[in-house]
Amino acid sequence: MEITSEELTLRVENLWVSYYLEGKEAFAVRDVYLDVGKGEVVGIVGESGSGKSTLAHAIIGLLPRNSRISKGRILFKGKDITGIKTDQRYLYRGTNIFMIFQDPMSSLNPTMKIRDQLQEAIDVRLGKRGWNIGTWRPPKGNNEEEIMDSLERVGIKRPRVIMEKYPHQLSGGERQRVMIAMAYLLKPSLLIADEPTTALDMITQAQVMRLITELRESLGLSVLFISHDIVLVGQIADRIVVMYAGKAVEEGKAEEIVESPMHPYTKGLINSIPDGYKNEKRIESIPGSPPNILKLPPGCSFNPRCKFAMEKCMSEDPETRVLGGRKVACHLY
Amino acid sequence: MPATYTNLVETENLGVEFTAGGRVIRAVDGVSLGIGEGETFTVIGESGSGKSTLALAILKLIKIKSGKIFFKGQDITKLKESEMRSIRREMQIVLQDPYLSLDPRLRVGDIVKEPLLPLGEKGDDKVGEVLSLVGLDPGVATRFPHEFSGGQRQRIAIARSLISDPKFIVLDEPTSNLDVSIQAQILNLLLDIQERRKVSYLLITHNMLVAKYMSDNVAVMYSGKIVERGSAREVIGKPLHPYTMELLNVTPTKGFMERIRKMEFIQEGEIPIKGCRYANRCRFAKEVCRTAEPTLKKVSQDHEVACFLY
Repeated sequence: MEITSEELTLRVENLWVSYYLEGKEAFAVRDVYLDVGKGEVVGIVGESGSGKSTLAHAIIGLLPRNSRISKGRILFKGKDITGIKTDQRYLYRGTNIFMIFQDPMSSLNPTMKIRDQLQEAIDVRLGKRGWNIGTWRPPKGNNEEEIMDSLERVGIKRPRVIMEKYPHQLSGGERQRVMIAMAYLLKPSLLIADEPTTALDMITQAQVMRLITELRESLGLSVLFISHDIVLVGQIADRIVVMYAGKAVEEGKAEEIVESPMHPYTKGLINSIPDGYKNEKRIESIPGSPPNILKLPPGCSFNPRCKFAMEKCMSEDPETRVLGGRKVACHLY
Repeated sequence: MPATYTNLVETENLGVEFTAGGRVIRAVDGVSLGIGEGETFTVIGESGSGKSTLALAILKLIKIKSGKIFFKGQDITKLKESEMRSIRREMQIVLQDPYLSLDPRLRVGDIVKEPLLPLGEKGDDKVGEVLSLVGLDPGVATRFPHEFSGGQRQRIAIARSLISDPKFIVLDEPTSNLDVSIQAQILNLLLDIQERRKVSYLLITHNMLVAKYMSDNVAVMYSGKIVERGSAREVIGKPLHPYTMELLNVTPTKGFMERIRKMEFIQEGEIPIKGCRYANRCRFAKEVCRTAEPTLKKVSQDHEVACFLY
């Protein structure tokens, strides 16, 4: 079945990503299928070590040297980008797939003024710069008005002042805004946001969440929103994929997942959110910690932490089953 | 020595100032509060509100400009560090980032014992006890911090804070760097410890859900001042100050997207020199807010607010 570019922005099929660790090949992403429709927001939820960031890095081609896609395909607008050469990546990055990270300091160049970095984004979009971005060169164009406009769109009141600053002179929230301004200039069709608000406090988080929503509406882009906070993701996403130990264990409509989770891990994530006052009901945490991918337990990877674990769960990894609009990989269903 | 006291920890008009770029910044300005025995008192605010500075000042870890601090009824404001030593064993702190707060070159056992060093105690017998109390195997004492996950490291930091049998522990954003699933474990652990050891916590957080879940009493801090305080149920359940309402609106619970779409984010300008410090950001700011500074006013038994709306 061939997918037309209008329907799906991203399709991930049977993806396996491995790391070479301690002389062994360990799988951080195992057999993941993922579709992101045009204009759709898909949330990826899981703890640290669940493989959610590895999945994002595989899509945008930022896997570290000791890691590789060992199986599966990644299709961007119907075109297979799995095996694309490093020197061709720039054709996709930025203008097609744009990524913002938890720490915007690591995506901004500390030696370049905000103005030059945003000008660079415009030059890239117009095809005036390609492969060698990130090193300061005399800008190709002078699109000051467009730069100012992009900064105003992300709520920066004095763009002229911010433009002349270096990243370290800005607050965390301002840096993340600059990253979103860059997206306005690059006009990608897919935004990958990897824990974009985790380092920010609540008010700044809310502002960034709103800016991402506005960006999406304005450009009609698709978003892959990655976070450990399932309630936060539930607020912005149309669909949620819950990952555990590299596998997608549950997938469905965002509000259905948050209202009536099926997989015990998803239930645990929701029950972990503090709810109520002191001396009322205690929240139920998930015991233990995520497994080391070098030493995955036999059977279902979640079985050591699962209070519903049965004998079958210790030996047999559950298949993903489709139940209504929901996909779940658990022997309970 | 006064033997009777109502609050374990009290501050009276506490002030801390920093000079930055030739300007004086009042990071903590006239803060009075009382923390009862075995209770959790939470200070809520954004980055830059002065909440961490307040905690450090109460522990006498930074220079105090004005006001007083009482511990067990004793005025400790002017005590020399040598006189503080016996009091220090009763006050401890758990910091936000367990990747920074644990010395990577020390073994877990030595990290946990560290608070006893200046007291000239060995504490070898206690290490196992506090490690089990925080849910770790006593055998981990011989291992190094890098072998542990963020949540386990925070447990080690909590074990360290417990070794000297403190009465008072400052928890400075103890779960902000953790996943929600691990945060839940740590919050429950802290509640268990409080029940068993009757310690008082001063919790610093920007997260309203955490504050609600953990606290007996809360204070909302903005730009160095307490703008609202009272019991957790009063302040979080019936917020009065526009800033407290703003913090609740941005909490990601049901209806979050609808709320933040409607919200008008007023970008922080300069903190006004005259009048209410929140006035530049406040939707309800009136004439009087720009000329006079509101003081805390009692609105009910357990509830005070510093705002001209009331």
